[in-house]
Amino acid sequence: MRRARRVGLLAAAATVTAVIAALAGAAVAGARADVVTHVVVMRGGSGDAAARRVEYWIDPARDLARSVEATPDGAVVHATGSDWVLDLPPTGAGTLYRTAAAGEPPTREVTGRLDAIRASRSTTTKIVLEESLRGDGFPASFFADRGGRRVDETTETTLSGAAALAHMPLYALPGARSTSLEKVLYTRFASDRTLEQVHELYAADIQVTVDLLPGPVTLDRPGATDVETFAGAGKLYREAWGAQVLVSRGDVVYGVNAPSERVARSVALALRPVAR
Amino acid sequence: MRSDPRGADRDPINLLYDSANGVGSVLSAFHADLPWPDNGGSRMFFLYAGSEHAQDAQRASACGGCDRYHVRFRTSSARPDRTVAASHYEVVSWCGHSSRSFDHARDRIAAAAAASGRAVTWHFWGNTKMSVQCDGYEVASDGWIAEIDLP
Repeated sequence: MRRARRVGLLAAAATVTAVIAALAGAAVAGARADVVTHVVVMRGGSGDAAARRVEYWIDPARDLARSVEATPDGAVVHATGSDWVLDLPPTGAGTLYRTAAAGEPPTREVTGRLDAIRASRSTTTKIVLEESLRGDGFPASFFADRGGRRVDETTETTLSGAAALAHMPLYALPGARSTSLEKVLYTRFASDRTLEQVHELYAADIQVTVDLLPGPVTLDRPGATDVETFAGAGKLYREAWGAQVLVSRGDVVYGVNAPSERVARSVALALRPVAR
Repeated sequence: MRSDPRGADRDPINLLYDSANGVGSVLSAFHADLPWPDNGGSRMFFLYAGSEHAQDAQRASACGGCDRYHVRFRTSSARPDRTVAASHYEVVSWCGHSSRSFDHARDRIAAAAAASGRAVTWHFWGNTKMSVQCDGYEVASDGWIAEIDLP
C-alpha cells in the first residue's frame, strides 16, 4: 500500500510550543507534491448535545497544516506554516506565533480580532507535521474518535496511487479520451456501510466513483433504466443535472456522473482497468 | 439539491421518510427525536423525478451563523406519503456555510430516530457525486440513504 505521506500533526489539544517543536523536525523530511491528506474526526455521539468535530488538513507539499474544531462556542482554528502558528479562538483575539529558526522559542508577533485575521490570512493555511501518518510515533488517537471509532480519511492522490490504496479494482477513462483527469480522491470510511470510495474527477464535469461495500447490494433506487456498461448490465438514472450510471459487480459499485445521458452512457462503456 | 434550480449540485438526498400524513407529521416526529428549530438557512430545491421542487421546511441544530447540523425537507406532491430530506454538517467559512459531511448528519438523525423506536432501513442509492462547496471544499456521501418509517 502506498503510504508515503510525510507529515506532522497539529492536534487541537497541542500547545503552540509543542507544534513549533514538531515543525522544527518537519523541515528536513521529504514531502510529496501529489498527496494532500484530510482527516475528519467527529467527537461525541449522536446523543451528545455538545458534539464536537475536529478537521485536519495536511499539505506536505506546501508545509502547511490546519485543524478546525467545531465547538458549541464556535470554531477553534489552529494553523501552521513552516515557521508560524496561528491560533484563532471562537471569539476575541487571535494570535500569530512565529519562530526565527528551528528550535528557537516562538515570538508572538500579531494579536488582533479573529475577524481581522480571518480576512487577511491565506485560504491555503493548512497543516503540517513531518511524521508518517501511520506509525513513526503519530498518535493513534488521531485516527479515532472518543469512542475509539476510526475516522474518515480522504487522500488526494494519483490514479495509480488510488489503485494501490484501494482494495478493489479501479477503472478509468483511457488516456486517449479527450477529457482529462483532474483529481483523484481516495476515502476510507469510518462507517461499515461503505468501506472505501474513490472519486475520479474529469474535465467537463464527469465523475467516476467506485464504492467498496461490505457485500453485494441491490440497486433499488427507483427510476432506473437498464443500460450496458463496461461491466455488463447497469442502471441509468436521468437527473435534472444530467445522468448517472451505476453498475454493481460483487461488493463494488461503479458510478458515472455526467452532464448528459449520452456522455454518461459513453463513459460507462469506455472505462478500462487501472493497473495496480 | 441546489440553491438555484439551474445552479450547481449541492447536497444529496440522504433521508427518506415514510409518513402518510406529509411533512407536518415528519416534522413532529423529527422534533421528538431532535428538538432542532428552524434556525434559518437559504431556500433550496430538490431535484427528483426530472424536475425541481422547493423545500417545504428546514431544521438546524444551531444558529444561522454557527457550525451546525442542517436538514431540509420536501414532501413529494406525487407521493404525499414520501418525504425526502437532505442533511449535512456545515461550518462557517469565509464564504458562508460550507458542508463538511453529509453522512455524519444523516447518521445522527437516523440514530436519533432509531433511539425513539422508529424503524430505520438502509438503501444504497449511489448518490456519491462529489459536491464542491463555496470555499472549494469537496465532499461526497457514501451513497446510502436511511429510510425512516413513521406512523
